[in-house]
Amino acid sequence: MEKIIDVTIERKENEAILNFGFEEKMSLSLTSDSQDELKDFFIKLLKKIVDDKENIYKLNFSDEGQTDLFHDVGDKYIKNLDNELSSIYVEINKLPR
Amino acid sequence: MLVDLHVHTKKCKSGDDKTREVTVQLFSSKIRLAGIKVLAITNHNCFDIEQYNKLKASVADVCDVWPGIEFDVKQLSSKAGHVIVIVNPEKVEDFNALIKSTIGDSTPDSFVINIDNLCSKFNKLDPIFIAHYLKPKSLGEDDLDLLNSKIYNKNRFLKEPSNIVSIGVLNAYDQKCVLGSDVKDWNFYEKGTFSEFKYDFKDYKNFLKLLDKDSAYINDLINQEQKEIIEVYGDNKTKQHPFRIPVYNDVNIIFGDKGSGKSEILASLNDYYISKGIPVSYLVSRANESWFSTLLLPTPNLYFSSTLGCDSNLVENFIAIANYVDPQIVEIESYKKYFKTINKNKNSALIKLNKISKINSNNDVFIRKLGSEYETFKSFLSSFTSSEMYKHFVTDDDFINLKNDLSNVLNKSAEHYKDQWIKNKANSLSDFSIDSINTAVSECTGTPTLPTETGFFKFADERIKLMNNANAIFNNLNKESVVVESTYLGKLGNKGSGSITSECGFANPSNIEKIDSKWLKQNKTDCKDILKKLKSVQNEAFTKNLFDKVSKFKTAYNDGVIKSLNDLIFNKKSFILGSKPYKPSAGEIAILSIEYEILKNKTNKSIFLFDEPELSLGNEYIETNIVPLIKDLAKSGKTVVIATHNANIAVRTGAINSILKTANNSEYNTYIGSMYTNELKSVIDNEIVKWDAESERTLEGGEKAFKERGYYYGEDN
Repeated sequence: MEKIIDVTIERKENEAILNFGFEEKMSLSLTSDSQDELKDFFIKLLKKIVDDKENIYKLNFSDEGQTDLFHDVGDKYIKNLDNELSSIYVEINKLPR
Repeated sequence: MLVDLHVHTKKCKSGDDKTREVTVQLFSSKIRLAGIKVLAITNHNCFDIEQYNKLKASVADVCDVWPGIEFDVKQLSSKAGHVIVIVNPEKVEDFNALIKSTIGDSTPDSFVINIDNLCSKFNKLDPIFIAHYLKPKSLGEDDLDLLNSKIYNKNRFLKEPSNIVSIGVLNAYDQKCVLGSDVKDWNFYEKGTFSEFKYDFKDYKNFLKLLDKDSAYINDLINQEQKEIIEVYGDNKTKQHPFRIPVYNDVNIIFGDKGSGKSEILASLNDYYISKGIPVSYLVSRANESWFSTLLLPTPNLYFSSTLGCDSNLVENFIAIANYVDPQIVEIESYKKYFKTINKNKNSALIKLNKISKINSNNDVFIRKLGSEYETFKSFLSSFTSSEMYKHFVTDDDFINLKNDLSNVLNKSAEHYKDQWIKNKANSLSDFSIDSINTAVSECTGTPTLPTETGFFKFADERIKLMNNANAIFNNLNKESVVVESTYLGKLGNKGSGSITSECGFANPSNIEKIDSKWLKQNKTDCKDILKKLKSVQNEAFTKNLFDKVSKFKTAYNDGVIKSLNDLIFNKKSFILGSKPYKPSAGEIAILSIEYEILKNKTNKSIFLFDEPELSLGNEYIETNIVPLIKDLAKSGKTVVIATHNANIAVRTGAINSILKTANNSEYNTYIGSMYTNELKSVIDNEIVKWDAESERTLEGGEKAFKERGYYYGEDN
């Protein structure tokens, strides 16, 4: 079953964080320069997707009323990431259940 | 049918071995073991009718036993020689009485009979006389001539030479011969030498008909054989001068004058059988050397890289090298452009995710291997748990424990596989995100992208891959050559067995100079060129000269025909005798060709045509090797047609059909008949000529050779 995950931007002073609307908090900071944080985020995201055998997740960027650079970059990035995730579902289906 | 007309059953003379004595039981078992169908008891100057009757009765169901005696005979010569006298078994009582009255009070040691008495006393008993000839105790020449002149029927006078080589030559010149065992020890009787007759003669009278060459009787025997009448040509190429010949399902001999058209008959028969779709083996001895050369012709096109144990022909490696280009290195200008515009947008400066170094860690191959191993194990476990068979080998508890353990292993390997897949995919999504955000920032701000990598990693990675491709090719090319096939050809006497071995390998820079161009699939110059250029790529993989080397390889690869390992295969064929390469002589090639042709084809061909198989072969070899092979073919139901000038082949193969070709001042004639009837009839005017006279005239050597060979084979043995 397809499940839509809203992705929002949390703006703080000198900081912008992408929040992914899973039950469990999952976020990625656009303003972080840590490779480990980036990698850990995707490990967590992929575990969630692989372990959930019921749903197929679709990302939806939700940042109404904003016009700043974070909004524009976030919009483009989430669309690209959603396409990328769709393509790896073929591989996920071959993994052991 | 095996016949032994020289059998001793008693120690008669003081010099006779005691082992010539035989009991009824031993006699019966040995005659059965040897498969003898007719024998004559011929003791020295002695005939024991009581023993004769007992022995005859003991083998009555399998063998006919005839009465006889071996006399010491002398009249004109200084020394006595041995002559066997065999008589009609219906007249055994008369024979017994005659022997008693003739020998009288003499002992076997002292008795000698003269030729006048020998010829006059036994005639009424339908005798056959067999004189020792060209062997110890032979009759002297004078006495031999006297016996020949006084004998009541010359057809019933036979000679017994020392061995089977002599007999073929003697038979060729109408010297009727038989071989007898002259048994000296009955314990080894079955290992003796016997005469083999082509036709079964049911009794003594029929044997006399054979000796007398009774045409009606022999033709009856011959006509029982299967034959086909075939049209052949005096000139087979143009199909001119046709005539018809019978071809028997047996041995057929074509002999006659040189240039009279014997080979044309064989060529016609070959065409005929091929047109009928009948498998035919056609051996022309004149072409033996070209036959041998053909066997040594390399056949590299029959072999592929898999022949040499390679998993692949590595065509992808060749293509990858030919198409190689260095990856783009990021120019320093890109960094300059980025940093000139970086401070224009405050938020742009805040986004740092796009400035993280990429991980560049792609383990897709490793992950696929993990997945494949997991699936293999899963499949095994499924088969293991569903099969009833394995349960019989262990107790139920052990089986359940083992199954649980294996299931645990499977579950853990599944978890491991998933974890590794996730980590690998997280790396690639991280790199993807860096690129994606970088591009988005650039597009949204109208500023150049920050180069996410210098390009050095890819540059080095691609050059290593290039090197690996070249190494993989050379690792295979440097493999040792292997013998892929060994074909047994035959034996060369005491020198050993000979085989043609087929060796395969790859041409490589170290062996290409020693490789004959005929061994290669492709042109040798092209092979050398591509190997040289490939080696240059391998040597310069990490230097600035690589582009030039790749470019030269690419041109040679795209313009040439060498596309993969398959095109660099060589095949070399050698004749190996024992374990070493050997160059056989013309005679040895002849030996190999005829044996090979017969042995190779005897199961799948039904017709065998031989054109002068004797060429380059010695008579002893023909007699001991070729004649038995031909006789075996006939026995196994093959049709054999032989054009020959050799007396041994013409006679000893027991051919029932003879075709004589004559040529006299451009006038050709064909006569058909048999040596058994001693008649050959012209297909043109029914003229009849004698087989013996024509064979003596046309077969190799004539009378002079016969005498020389008789001396050689007889005296030396």
